[in-house]
Amino acid sequence: MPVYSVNRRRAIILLVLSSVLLLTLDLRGNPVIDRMRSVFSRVLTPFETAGEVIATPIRNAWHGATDYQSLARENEKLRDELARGRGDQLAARAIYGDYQELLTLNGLTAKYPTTTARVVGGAPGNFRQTVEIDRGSSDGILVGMPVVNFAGLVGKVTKVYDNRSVVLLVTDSDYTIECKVSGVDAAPVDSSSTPLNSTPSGINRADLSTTTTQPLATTTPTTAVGRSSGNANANPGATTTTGVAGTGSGTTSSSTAPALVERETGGCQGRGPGRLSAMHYITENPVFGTINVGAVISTTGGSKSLAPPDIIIGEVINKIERSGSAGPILEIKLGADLNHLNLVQIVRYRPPPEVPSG
Amino acid sequence: MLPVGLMFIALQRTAFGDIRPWGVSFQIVLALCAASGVPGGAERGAWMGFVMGLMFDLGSAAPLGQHALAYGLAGFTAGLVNVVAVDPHWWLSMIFVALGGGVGEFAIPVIQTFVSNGGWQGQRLGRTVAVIAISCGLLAPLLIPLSRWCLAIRKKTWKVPAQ
Repeated sequence: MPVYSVNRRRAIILLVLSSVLLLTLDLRGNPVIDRMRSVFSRVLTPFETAGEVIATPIRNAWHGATDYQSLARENEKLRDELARGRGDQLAARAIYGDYQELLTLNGLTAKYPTTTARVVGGAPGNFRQTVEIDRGSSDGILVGMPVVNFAGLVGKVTKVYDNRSVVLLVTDSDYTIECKVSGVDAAPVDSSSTPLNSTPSGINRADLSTTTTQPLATTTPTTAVGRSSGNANANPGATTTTGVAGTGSGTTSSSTAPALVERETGGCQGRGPGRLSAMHYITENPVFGTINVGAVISTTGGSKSLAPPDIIIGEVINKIERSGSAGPILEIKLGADLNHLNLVQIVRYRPPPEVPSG
Repeated sequence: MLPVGLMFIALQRTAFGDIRPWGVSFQIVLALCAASGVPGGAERGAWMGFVMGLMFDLGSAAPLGQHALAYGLAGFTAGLVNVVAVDPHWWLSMIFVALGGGVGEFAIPVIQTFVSNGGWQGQRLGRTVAVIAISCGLLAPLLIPLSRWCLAIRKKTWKVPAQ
């Protein structure tokens, strides 16, 4: 039997052409295909219910056999984290109150209504990072709405059916969102020759009393205002003045303790399963301070962003320096544990890029 | 074939989406498509894969046609076993089902590269394809009889011609 018979060639050509045609139709957005998906999802529901009945004991047995040790370790670790978290929570509650007060004073609000949903299915394949939730268009869910949980950003809604939706996770390589780094250590100041009571270094004083993307460390003894969302290791705003030996009388060195500020914006992109998300397009300037491990990454918001501002994405756990003008790449440990999602919240915010034109 | 396909897709989405040895989700629908190529031949394997892949695409968020093409290629590749042997040994069938599974899984990120920004997963792709190919090969002895039943194909029997 020849490998390339006419029938065989015809079969493979038809297969490829049909697939390409379907792909083209679907990618261009076809209501018939969307309707077919909706109908198929209804047909599949009883099979999935039966599959769930069969799958649950299998899944439990599998996880019991493979995850017991790691679960025990994780349990211990979580107890520790919980104890620490209680303290942090109290501090955060106080800070959040201040934040809300400031927003109210400025006539702003960061509140969007949310809808809680349960994750009912994971990605069936190995190359897409999606989950399915049990809320759909009948609950007012729209394509593009960001999805979060209590730990941070989870993803965005990419497909909506009557009673379910598909969420593209932030780890998928198709997902990119504008984000900012908070908790940047301001540049250490080397001002051995700075005279006492020198003039301010060009920074608008108004900026010193508000949250800005400007560096707040100055060579003069002044109070810098740090963002509350930053790393708590430093003491924002603390100013020290120390004398420097051998530089002559009347000369002091004045340095500001590392202030935690918002500094850089860039794009946060998923890199697939098992790989850390990364933040690109950062133009780090040492004058403005350095981005350190532990800095918090959150969404920027704005007219082109996929999510409202100040949703936590994660923290920097690695910084990859690159040569030339290419800025560093920040590897991000996500706040949300995407492997164990159960309940999520869909933020009823329609990002401007997702609103259909016309 | 359709109810069996629906059940396999449901199992894929419920049980096998969560069980991930070595970080890889077993693809039983792909394994069934590849296994159907052995009794059915390359053409029937391709069409079986195409139909099952279409159902898989309809049930997931993947672009319609992506898995149809990949699973069709898997069935076609596994079906080529009939080119090398008229009545292939069980181990030869396993090898070809493994090959089909590997080709099908490899095709998914390739197609994804054309239809979206993502696709290639670097070193992970090699491990994924290897695990899927081996799992498809191991499942072949179970899935070949099932696909033969689905496609209503009788097992080949040989008779000594009468003198």
